[in-house]
Amino acid sequence: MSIAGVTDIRPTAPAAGRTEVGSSAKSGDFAAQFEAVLTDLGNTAQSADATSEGLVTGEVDIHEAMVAMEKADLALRVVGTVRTKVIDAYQQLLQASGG
Amino acid sequence: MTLLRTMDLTATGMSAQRTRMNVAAMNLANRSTTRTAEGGPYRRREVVLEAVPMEGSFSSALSGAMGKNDEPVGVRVATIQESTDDPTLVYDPGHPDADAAGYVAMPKVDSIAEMVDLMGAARAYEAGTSVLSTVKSMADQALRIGR
Repeated sequence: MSIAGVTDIRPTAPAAGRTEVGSSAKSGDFAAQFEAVLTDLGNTAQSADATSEGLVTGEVDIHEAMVAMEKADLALRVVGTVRTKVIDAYQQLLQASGG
Repeated sequence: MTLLRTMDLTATGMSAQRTRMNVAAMNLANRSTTRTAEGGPYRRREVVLEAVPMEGSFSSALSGAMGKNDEPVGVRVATIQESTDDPTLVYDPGHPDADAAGYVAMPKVDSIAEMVDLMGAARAYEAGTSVLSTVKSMADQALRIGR
């Protein structure tokens, strides 16, 4: 009975978070967010590094090392795709102002 | 639940299956071991697995408390249990560990059951690799949207 009240709250919480992200992006915070993503990428790459080191010393299973490396690879490709998109958009803006 | 979470989740399952393989290998290796540190013959070991929520985040704790099952749940080895079965008595008077009547207490390890366990663990591990390659191809396809 008291749970029914709590259920109503739940869907609004992520929605509120989403608006916040949207508004901060609107206020030109994209660079900061992108930087955070890059830091995250660095962490993922570092953990991949650590696990492959653990693989050599026999502390980590093969699949764990492979998963860590795969995650780093995937994160790198996602960041690369985002970067390509951003540069594309920037170049389109340059063309719009130039001609 | 992102694709990276799926990979972590699958990795926990694969680690659990690796432990099952290790324990089956241990049981097979020790199937005629008559001396242990605790005394008596080796006792067969069994892996007990349990489900654990991935990373104790607030949202997973909340949805767990509310009885929702949409949060990712990984697996981990809860315990490796020793069997309490009595050892098998084998008549072998020449054995150094034989008792006065000539019987040796041998571990109760069923090689066939251990092999079946081993194969089950190997297949489950294989299933994990299939999940990982599916996740990989899904990610590739998702990235291709932007091209």
